[in-house]
Formats: sequence, structure tokens, C-alpha cells
Amino acid sequence: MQAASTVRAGNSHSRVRGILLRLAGVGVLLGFWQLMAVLLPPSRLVGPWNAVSDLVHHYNNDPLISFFGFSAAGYGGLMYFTVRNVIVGVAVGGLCGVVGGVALARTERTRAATEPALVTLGTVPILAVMPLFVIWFGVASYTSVILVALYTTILLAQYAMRAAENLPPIYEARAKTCGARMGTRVIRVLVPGVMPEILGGLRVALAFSWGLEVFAETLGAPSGLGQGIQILSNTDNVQGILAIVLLIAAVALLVDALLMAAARLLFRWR
Amino acid sequence: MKTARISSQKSEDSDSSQAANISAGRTTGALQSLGDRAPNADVRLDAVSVTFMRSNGDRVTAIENVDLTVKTGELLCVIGRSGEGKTTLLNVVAGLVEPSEGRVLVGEREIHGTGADRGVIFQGDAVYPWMRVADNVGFGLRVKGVRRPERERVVDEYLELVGLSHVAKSWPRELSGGMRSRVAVASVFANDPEVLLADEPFGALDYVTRRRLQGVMLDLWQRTGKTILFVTHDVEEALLLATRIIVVGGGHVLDDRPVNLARPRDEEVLASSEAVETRRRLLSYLGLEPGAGSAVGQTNE
Amino acid sequence: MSNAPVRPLSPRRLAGSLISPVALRLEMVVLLAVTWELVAHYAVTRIGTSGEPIFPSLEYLAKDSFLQMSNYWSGGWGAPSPGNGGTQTYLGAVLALASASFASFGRLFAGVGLGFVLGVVLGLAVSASKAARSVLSSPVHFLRMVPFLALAPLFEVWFGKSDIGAIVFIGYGSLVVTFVGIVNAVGLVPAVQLARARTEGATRRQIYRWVILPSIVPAMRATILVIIGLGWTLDVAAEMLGAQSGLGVIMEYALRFAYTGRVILVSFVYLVYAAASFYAVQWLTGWAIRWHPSQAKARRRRRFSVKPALALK
Repeated sequence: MQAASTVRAGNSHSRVRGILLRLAGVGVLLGFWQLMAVLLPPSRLVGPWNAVSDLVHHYNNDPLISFFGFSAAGYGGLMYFTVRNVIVGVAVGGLCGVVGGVALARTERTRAATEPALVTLGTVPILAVMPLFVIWFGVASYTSVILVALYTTILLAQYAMRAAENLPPIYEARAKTCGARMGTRVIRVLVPGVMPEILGGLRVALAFSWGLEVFAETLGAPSGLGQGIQILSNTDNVQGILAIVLLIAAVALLVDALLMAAARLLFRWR
Repeated sequence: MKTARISSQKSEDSDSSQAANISAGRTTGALQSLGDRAPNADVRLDAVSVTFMRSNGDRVTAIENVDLTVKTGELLCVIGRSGEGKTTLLNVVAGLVEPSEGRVLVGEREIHGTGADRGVIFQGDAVYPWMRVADNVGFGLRVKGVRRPERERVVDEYLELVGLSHVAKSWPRELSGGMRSRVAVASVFANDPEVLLADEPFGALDYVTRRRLQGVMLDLWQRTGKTILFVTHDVEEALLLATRIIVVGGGHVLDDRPVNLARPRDEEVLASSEAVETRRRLLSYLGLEPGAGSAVGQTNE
Repeated sequence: MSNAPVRPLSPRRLAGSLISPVALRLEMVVLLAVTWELVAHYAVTRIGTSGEPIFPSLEYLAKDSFLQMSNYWSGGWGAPSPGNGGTQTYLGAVLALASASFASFGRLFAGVGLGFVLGVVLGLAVSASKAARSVLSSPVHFLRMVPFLALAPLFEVWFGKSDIGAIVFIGYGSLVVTFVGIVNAVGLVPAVQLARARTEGATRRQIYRWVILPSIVPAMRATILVIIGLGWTLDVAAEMLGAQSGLGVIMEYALRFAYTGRVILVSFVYLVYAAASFYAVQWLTGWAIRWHPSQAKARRRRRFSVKPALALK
């Protein structure tokens, strides 16, 4: 690796330059958005500033949403529903997936029986079963939670299985030669060993779950940002839709950043 | 690992055929033409310094004001402790690192950047996994635009010299680590550079494979008479190969001594008083006093 | 292991063959089907508001629900249109499903293909310049974090309920994922491999063609497999929100009237298509990475798998 290290003069200088370039990138995105908004009629697209101000104005109260009788009268209330569902779904699904995946990796027969099914399930659009869930479980707040949990379980089971497989066998062997019991080996060696890789899966699951939850909500839910989008798109309120999309993106970015910060704290040994 | 174990059998076969090649002293057509190389392939470093900037803003001087001339046809070994400038020295000559001060000349030309006149055998595995062995060896020729028939002829020559003709159509993943190193050696020689640079090329190999590859390297050097700059941390390797050894430490050339041992350098030659004395000096530069095993713990490695 | 001579079938050998991996997989499928049937016949036998069982049995799905698919056939090819007073026919059901599938597959491949090609071209172009990479890194990270599925209504507003809208929607998702994948992969090309090309005198163009491009082929393949899966999800979404044809239209219609059997049938068809296209693409592109070290490992895994626990005992 050393062989290709090229000399770059003034590293602190280049760091400032990097930050400036990144800021320029944000500017490019906003500029492009604004330009398109100028070119297109407001019924199709509004500029970033209009979307943000719509978000601020209707965060606590939106007449349209109150009209449809949701308990939450603004975007903020809808967001609470969505965030809660995603967190609960990913947490439940993540736990099932990790426990199941690690167990599968350590039991040859069960794994041989289930791995192809698991891999195949990972390739299919889980979203396609949402209509069935709506019929079975009704328009309830937990219907979309089930969908998110199912998706997360399938994904994380695969990540956990691969992580447990990739963990060098000598780690567990060493614990064994030290006389560690099964429980100790799992808690002290296996779990810390597979966690970093599982975190990658958790990030993927979380990132995709926002969309899954929101879309599931548009199909049928008592609240949530997806229902908000549905109501707004019935009245062709592009400004409102953009505001909600921005809100979802902001929440997704924030939660991802929090997860990474927690990971840095947990996995300092990496 | 598994792959390596599987092919080790093959590897040994090829090693014995290789040994036969060398002992027969067969000279092939391509090599005769390579023998008439450019008369002046001296490498000259003229007051060269290289300064890096760490990410925290500290300046690190990797090599400082180094003057060095490697004569055409010399096999110069560079030894030193890790992180004290060996690789940087080689990278400057390769053109991978621009000197902060001073200049580097090959023959009469001052060099800037990389060029096919200086071939490098890298420390890591630089054999392209998506090219079959023969294509890997012919890569440099392909870059130069050499036509296929000519390319194949040269590639065949060198594959035979390093004892890999039987795996010409294999993927690198099917080869053992030692065989991949041979591919790297053959690739560089096939490209016919004026100067050859090697950065601890056999460092990751086991002892037996390393010894065999040193033999391959010596054989190719004796046939082609290339100028070689060989970086190693292994004093024994340097004693076996070098016509001259320099020691690099703290960014400076600490010692520069010719090695006038007879060839082939068998156990007897390497046990001669001259060899023992050279070894003792070199080891002391590395912080190892011969005969005092406990001293190892005191070095700041 | 199994170098023993052929022996007559003993109870022990029979038991052994029942727990071989392949047998276990088949047994899983049978177990699932039996469970489903038991639930349908004894546990959940309720009839829903649509007059259909809420948990239809497999034979109900295969006969009644499948036949009802012919309702979505508009006539022709020898099958009458039940919507215009014709009878329900199995031929009509097959034709209805086939034409809907054709529409769905068309959208998927158009969208994924478009997104992939654009993503590769843009990704390679941006990778060539460090400044361009820095400028685009934050906008792309942002676009990556905006959930694609949440954007579906926007695309509907922009393009109306049209095929183009669905294709652009699928294409957008594929483009973003491909772009990120390509830029990442180019960044991960080992420095020593680039350095070797330079020291052998390769030009920038030659390095791109002979080193960077082949080196990122495995990442490209992985990206294609990801966007096929993503593409199907986006396709389901686009078709359910508003399309004139396709499986999602049948699904949306069946959901509105709570026709459980048809919903299950269409979901199942989606899942089969998605899995089939994934494995087909995986198989078709396998040759492109035959050089990759992982290929040797995959082939030898069975022969060399050593159970660490057993090895220790």
C-alpha cells in the first residue's frame, strides 16, 4: 500500500478545500432544485425554500390533515407515529434476525434447510405482501410495524449468519481452551465479534425501513407521514409532499448519524 | 490459505524444473537480445529529500539529503529497520513519490513520475486477479502496444525461465503465493526495464519458497545484467544477493559497502570471515548485537 | 467419508437420508404447505366481507382465485372478457397474468437498465476527478438517504399515471444506488494495482480500461443484483399507486375489495418473479467474475468445510 502513497503538500490546506468542495456540493443540489422549480410550474415543483417554509408552518398544525380527522394535526404528529413504528419494527426485527442468524450459523442442519429460503426471501420485494397484511390485520398502527419487522428480520438474519461465519474460528477456540463455557463464549466472544458487521446490516435495514414504513402507511394506516403524503397527493399539493419528503430525509439522516455515533462509542476497539 | 495448500504440490514440481533450467544454463533468444542493453543505466540520487505531511499537520522527513549512485548492472540491496526510509527511497526512484528536494537521474535523464524504464516488484500482491497468468506477464508489453505474436513469444520465454509455463492459462487465484511472486518477477523482467526495483518482494513467503525465488531472481539478473535496487529487511537475503549493500536509517544512508563474496554464495562462502564480519556490522545497524539474544528486547521496534 | 460399499436400505441409512440438506429443504416446503392447509381448514376459516375466505386454502388459491384472474382479461386470443359478460376461463386467467407480467417486466428492465447504464457512466466520470467526487459526495449521500419509496407520489405528480413515470421512478432509484456503488468500488481498487500499471508505463486511459474497469466488475455485478431487488420493490410501489397495466394494478384492485385470494396470488407471483430474475442475472453474470478468488472458495467450500468445534474435540 505504501508504494502508491503520493505526496500531497499542505494537508490542513487540503482539508479546508475538501470542506469547501462539500459545501459547494450542497449549493449545487439546492441550485439545481431551485432552477427546476423556476422552470416548472408550481403545481409540479416548488423551490427548496417554499418546501422548508411549508414544513415549518404545518409542523404543528395542518388544516387539511386536521380535516381528515387524524389525532395528530400537523406533520410533527404524523412523524412521531412513523418514527415510533420504524424504531419498534427495526428493533424487534433486528433482535429476531440476529438471534436467529447466529443460531443458524452454529447449527449445521437447520441452516442447510433454511439458508436457501432465507437468501431467496432477501431478494424479493417484501412490500408486495403489505396488501395481504392490510386485509389480515386491518388498518392498524401495528400492520406496518409487522412489515418493517419482517423485512429487518430477513435482512439481519443474513448479516448475522455471514458475520458469525466470518469470525475466525480461533477466537472461539481460544476461549474454549481457556475453559470458557458456552454462555461466556457467546457473550464475550461471539456477540462482540459479530456486532460490527451486524451494525452495517442495521444501517441498511434502517435506511430502507423509512421508505417501507411510509409506503405501507399510504396503503392503510391510522396516521403517519405516509398518510400525510397520501392526503396531500390527492389534492396535488406538491409543496406539502416535498416538505414531508424533506422531513423524512432529515429524520433518516439524523437517526443514521446517531447510530454511527453510538457505534463509534461501542466499537472503539476497531 | 486452502488454495495455497492445494497448489503447493504443483509449486514444488515447478521448482524442480526451474532448478533444472538454471543448472543447464540455457540461454534463450529473447535474453540474448536483452543482454545488449543500453550502456548507461546508472541511477543517481542527487541531494534528494522527501518530506511528508501527516494528517495532524506534522512534517515527517522520510529521507534527507541522500546522495547515491547505483552503477549499471549492480545489484544493490537496501536494508534498514521498518519505517526508516527504505520504501520511500525506492518509491522516489520508481517515480511514485516526487522528491521534495534534489533530483533523480537514470542514465543522463532526470526522471519525473513513473515510466516503463523502471520496473517495480511490489511488496503487496500486484498480480491482476482478472488476468490469466500469461496476460499478467504480458501486461507491460500490451501497454507499450507490442503486437500479440511478439508478446506471446516474450511471455513464453519468461514463463519458462521462472518455471510457470504449465500454468500460463491459469487464474492467479489458482496459484500459491510463491507462484504469484514468480508471476510478478516475470512480469517485470518481460517488460525489459533499464532499472529494476524490488520492495521486499518475498517478505510474505515461507523460507523454502523465498530461497527458491532468490535463486530465480539471481539467475535472471545474471542473464540480463539489469541494474537492480532491492529493498529488504533480511540481512541474509542481502548477503546472498547483493554486489553492494547500503543501510538506511533515520532518512540517511548510514553505511555503504561492496560485497565481494564469491558466487554461488553457498553455506561455505556465507560462513567465511568476510561474510561473518559484514553480517555482524549489518546486524548492529539494525539494533541486533550478534550473540546477545536478550538485546532484542531492548530495541525500540 | 462415504466410501462404504452399497448396502441394503437400513433404518439408520433411511434416517440419514432424511436429514440430508436437500431433503431438509424439501421437507421444509412440505411442512409449510401442510401448516398452511391446517390453518386454512381448521384454525382460520372465517369468510371475509368480500365473500372470500380470509385465509384461503391452497386448493382455493389454485382453482378459484386463479380462475378469477380472468376477470382482468379484456378479451381476445380465444378467451372471453368476463367484464363484458363472458365466462371466466383458465385461458383468460393465464392471458391476464401473462399480459400483466409482460408490462411489469418491461417497466422493471427498462428502469433498471436505464439507471444502471447512467449510473456506471456518471460514476466512472465522477471517479476520475477528486474535486468532482468531493462536490457530489454530500448531495449524493442526501439523495441516498431520501427513501425512494416515499418519492413515489412525487413521480406520480410529475409524470402522471404513465409507464414513463414508473420507468423513471425505477431508473432513479437504480441510478443512485449504482452511482454510489461504482464510486465506492473505484475508490477501493488496491493502490498497489494502480501503482503497478503506472510503473509499467500505462496511460490514464489504459489504466481505466485494463485495471479499474475489470477490477470493479464484481462490484458492478453486486450492484446489478441489488438494483434488481430494489427495482421490483419500486415497481410494486409504482404500479400500486397508479399504473394502467401490470400486476400491481390487479393487486390494488383486489386490495380495494379485500379479495384475499387474489392478493395472495399476485404477491406470490411478484415474489417468484423477483427471485427468478435475481437468480437468472446471478447465473448469467457468473462468467464475468470467474477469475475472482471468491469463486475458488465457493467451489471448494463443501470439500473443505471443517467444523471448528469438531476439530477441537
